[in-house]
Amino acid sequence: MALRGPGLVSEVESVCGLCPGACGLTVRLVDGLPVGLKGNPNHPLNRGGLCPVGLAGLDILYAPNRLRHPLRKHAQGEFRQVEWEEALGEISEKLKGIGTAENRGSAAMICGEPSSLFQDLAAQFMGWLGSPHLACTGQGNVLPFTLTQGLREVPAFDWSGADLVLSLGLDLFEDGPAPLHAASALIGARQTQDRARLLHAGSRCSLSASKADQFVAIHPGTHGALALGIAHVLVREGRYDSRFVTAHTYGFEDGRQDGEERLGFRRLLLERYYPDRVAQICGCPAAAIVRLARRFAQASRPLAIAGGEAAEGSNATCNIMAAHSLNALMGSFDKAGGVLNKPSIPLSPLPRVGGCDGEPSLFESAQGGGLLGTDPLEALSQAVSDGSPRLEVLFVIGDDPVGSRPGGSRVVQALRGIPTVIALTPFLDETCDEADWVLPTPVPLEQWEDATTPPFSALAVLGISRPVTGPLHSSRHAGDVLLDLSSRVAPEGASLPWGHYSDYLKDRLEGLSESGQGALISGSFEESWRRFLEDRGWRFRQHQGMDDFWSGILKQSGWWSPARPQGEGGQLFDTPSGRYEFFSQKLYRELLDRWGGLASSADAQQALGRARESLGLQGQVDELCLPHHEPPHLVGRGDLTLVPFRPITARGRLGTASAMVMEMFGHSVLSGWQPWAELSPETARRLDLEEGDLIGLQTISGQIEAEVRIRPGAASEAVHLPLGLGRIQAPGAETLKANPLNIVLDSRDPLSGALSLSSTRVQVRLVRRRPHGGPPPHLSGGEA
Amino acid sequence: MRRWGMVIDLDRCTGCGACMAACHQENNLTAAGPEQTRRDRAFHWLKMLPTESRLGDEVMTRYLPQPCFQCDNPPCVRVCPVHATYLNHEGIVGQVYARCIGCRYCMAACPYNAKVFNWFEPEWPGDMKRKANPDVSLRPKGVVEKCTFCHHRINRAKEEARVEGRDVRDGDVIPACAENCPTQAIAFGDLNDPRSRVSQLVSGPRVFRLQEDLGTEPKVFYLAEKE
Repeated sequence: MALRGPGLVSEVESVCGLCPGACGLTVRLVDGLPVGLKGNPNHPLNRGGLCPVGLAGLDILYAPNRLRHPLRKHAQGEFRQVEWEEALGEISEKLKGIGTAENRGSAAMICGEPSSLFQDLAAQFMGWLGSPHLACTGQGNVLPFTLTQGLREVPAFDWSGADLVLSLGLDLFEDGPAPLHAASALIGARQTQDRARLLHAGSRCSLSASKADQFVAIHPGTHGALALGIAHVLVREGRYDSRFVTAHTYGFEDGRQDGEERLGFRRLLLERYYPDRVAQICGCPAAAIVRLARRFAQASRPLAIAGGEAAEGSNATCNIMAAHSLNALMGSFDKAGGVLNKPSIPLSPLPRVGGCDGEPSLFESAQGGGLLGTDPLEALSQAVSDGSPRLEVLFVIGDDPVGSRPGGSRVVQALRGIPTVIALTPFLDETCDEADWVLPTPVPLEQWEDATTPPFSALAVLGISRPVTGPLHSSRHAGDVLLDLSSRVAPEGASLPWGHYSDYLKDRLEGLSESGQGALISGSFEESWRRFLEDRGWRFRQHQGMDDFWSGILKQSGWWSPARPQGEGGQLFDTPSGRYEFFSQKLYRELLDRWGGLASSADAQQALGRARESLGLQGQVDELCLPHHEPPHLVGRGDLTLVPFRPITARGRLGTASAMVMEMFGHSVLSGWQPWAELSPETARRLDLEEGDLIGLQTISGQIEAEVRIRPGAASEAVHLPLGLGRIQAPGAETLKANPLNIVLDSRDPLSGALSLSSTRVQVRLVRRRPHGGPPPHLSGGEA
Repeated sequence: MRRWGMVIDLDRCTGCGACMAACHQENNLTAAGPEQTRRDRAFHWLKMLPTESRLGDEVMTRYLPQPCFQCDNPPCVRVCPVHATYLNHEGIVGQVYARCIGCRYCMAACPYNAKVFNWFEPEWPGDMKRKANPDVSLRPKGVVEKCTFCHHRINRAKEEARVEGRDVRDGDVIPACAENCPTQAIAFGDLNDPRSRVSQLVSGPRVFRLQEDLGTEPKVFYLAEKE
C-alpha cells in the first residue's frame, strides 16, 4: 500500500456522473486520496444514499483495466500506444480538411454523455466544424408527447407531488432514469407523510413491482391495452375530470375531421376496451383492472407514467400514448403531482459559431426507420451505405454504439465505411475495435463533472464538481480534447472561445448566477424546500457576483430549483388545436400526406388503410390516430418472447468494470458474474426446468447461456434476461460472452423508429441440470 | 450498558442492494470472482434474501437485507474452539481474526448463514488497495469473517463524544449500510435506551425477527410492510 502521510481525513462534495441519475455524493479522503463514497443527504435528487454502481465509483477509478494511453490503429489492425501530442496533432490535420467548402458536413459525432452541458459543447464543436451531424443518444422517446402535447422534449412527471403513481412497465426503482430520486420521493417519504401509493403493471416481477401497493402481471407489450382498460372504467363510471377534458382536450367526443366522421376517444374506449376484452389481451383478471382504475380515480393527485418495457417494444409509441391519456382524463397537467414542462436551467446562451443552422442532420434523416422519428444509428448506417453525406471523420464520445444495441454488425459495417473513427472512452469497449484512434477519458472523481436534470424529473438540477483527485492515467476530459482540437485547427480567434472545459462551465454558469433563480445545494433538504414554499417568487440571492457563486457551487456540488406549474393549460399544449390531443392531428396529417388522401372521405379512409398496411400496424383504421392497443409485432422463431431488462447493477456504462458490481450483478436473484433467465413457475414446469439449471436461449441471430431463476409474477410467455454484460467487465470475467443484445433481433417501432428490444421470439433448451452444491434455491412460501 | 441493535423497515426497502455495496466498500471486502461465486463462495457480510409468496392473484416479493444478526444468544460463539468469536459487552458478536483457525464450526452453527470464509488470499488488482478504508483491517486467507455492525464507526463516535465531553447520542453511530440506504430503511442505535429510535421502532406492531423460535435472540429486527 502506498504511504499516505499523516493520515488527515477530509470530505468533499461531488456528483456521481456514472448514469443519468445525477446523484450527489460525498467523498472521504485520507491525505487527499479518496477512500470512501457516500450519498449526499442534502442533494435534492437522491437525498442521501447511493446505488450499488454509484458506490462502486472507487472501484471504477482504480480499475486495473482502464485505458492508460491514447491508442492508434495500424495497418495490420493492431493498436499501438501513442502520445497525446501525436494523436491530437494528426487528428487536427484531418479536421483541417473538414472545414473547406467541398468537405463541409463530412464530420459526425455520436455523444452518449448524459450531461446536457457537455452535449451543448459537442454541438458548438460540430457547428464550428460546419457539420450538423450530431446524435445525442439516450434521449428517450419523445414522439408520444409530440403527438399529444406538441412537445419537443419529454415532460417532467412530478411523482414526489402525486399521491398515487401508476407505472406501466417503468421500473422506477431500478431502470428508471433516476431510481434513487424515485425511491426517496415515493418510498423515503412513507413514514413522514401520507403514504403515496404505487401501482405497477408489467411482465416482470421487478423491484418496483415488489414495492407496489398493487402489482398486476400482464403479457409483454400489453401496457397500452391495460391503460385503455383503466380509461374505460374511468369513463364508464364517470370518474374522470370532465371539466378538464371539455376545456383542454381534443378528440374525446366523436366529431368531424376535415369534413369526415371521426371516432371519439370516449366511444373507442366504451366499445372496444371493456375490462373483459382487455383482460384477455393482457392476461390478467378483469377484476384487477377495475380495482386499478378505482384506486387511480380515488386519488386526489394521480399520475400515470409508462416506460421501461412498455417503451421498448414495437408498439412503444402507442403504449405511451395510451398511458398518457390517463393523465389527460384525470386532468393531471400543470399542477403539483402532475405532468409539468421540463424544468429549465437558466444557463448563459452559447455564442454563435460556424454556420450550419437549418442544415439537416444525417441522424434525423427519414431513412432512420420510423414514420415520425428516426433511430440515429440506423440513419448512420444508411448514410454510409448510400455515401450521402460522405463522412470522413466520426467521433464517438462516451457511447458504445456497437455493443449497446442489437444488430451491432450493421453499425460495425457503417464504422468501417468511415475513414477516421475516433472513440473517447475510459475503458475499451466493442466500438473501440472499429476505431482508428482511441483516446482515454477520465472517470468521474478525476474530471470536471456536470450532471443535469435526469429525464422525467420535475426538479431542475445542475450538479457540478471539480476533480476530486488528479487523473490517475494519461487521460483527458472529452471537452478538453474538443477544445484542444479546435485551437489546433483554427487560427487564433477563430477557435472555440474556451481554453478548458472548466472555463466553458464557468462561462455557462454566469447566466445561472445572474438569474437569481433556485438555490445552491445546501443545508437540509427540508429546510430549503420550506424556504421555496414560503418564498414562492424564489428570488433571494445567496451570493455576490459570479466568483462567489462559482466557488459556492463547487463547494456545495450543485444548484437546483423545483419546477412549478405555469398557469393552467397554456404552454403545455403546443398542438394544432392548442389542447391535449387524444386524436393526434399531427399523426393524421402525416399519414394522409404520406399515403395520399384527397378531399373525399373515401380517399382519406383508403389512405389510412394503406398507411396501416405499409407500417405493419394492426389497429383498426379509425383508431390509428387515437391511443389504442397495437399488438406487439414479434420476429423470429420460438414460443417464448425475450424481454430484456436492466438490473440496478447495470446502470450506466462503466459499473461492470467493478468486480463488486459483477459479483452482485444479480443480487435480487442470488446470482453473480453471469446472466440469468427469469421464467414464471408455469413456464418452468411446462419446460421441465428447475431453479439453477443452465439453459440455452436460441434465436436466429445466435445463442447465449443463462441460469434459470423462477420468478412468480413473471408473464408465462416471457423469458427475462438482464442487460448490461458486455465488453466493459472487471478482470476475471473476460471469458463471459453474455451480452443478450447479441441474440436480440433488429426490430423497431414503426412510428418513432426506436429500437424494439422485446420483439424477439426465443427457443429455450436445457444445457445442464443444476449441479449439486450450486446456488441455493429461493426461499419460498414466506408469510403473506 | 449499551446494547446495539438494528431495525430494517421492509416497507421502505426497495431491494436495491445499496446496503450490500456500501458494506463491501466500507469493510474492504474483495470479490471472489466468477468461479468461486458459482461455488457459493462469494462473500458478502450483508446479503439480500429474496422471498416470494402469493396472496390470491397477487405475487408478493420481499427482499430482506441480512447482516449478522448479532444474537444475544449466539450459537456461533458456543461452538468456537479457540474463542475467536465472542459476544462483547455491548452486544456485538466479535470475530478475532488472529485467533481464528478457520475450522468454520461457527459457520455451520449459524442458522442465518451470516458468516463467510476467506477461501483465498484477497485480491487487490492494480491500484485497488489505494481505496481500502483505513479504519478496517484487511483479513488474511483462511479466517472466518462477518458483519461487525461497523464497530469502527461505533469507536469513532465514542471517541468524538469523549473529546467533546459528552455521551454518545442516538444517531451518532450510523453503519455504512444505513448511511447509504436511499430510502432510510435501516435504523441503528442503542436498544437499552428507551428513547432511541430503534427502541421506539421495535415496540411497534410490525416487528418480527427471523426464526425467533430458535431462541437466538437476534438484535436485527424487521418491520413488515404496512397496508
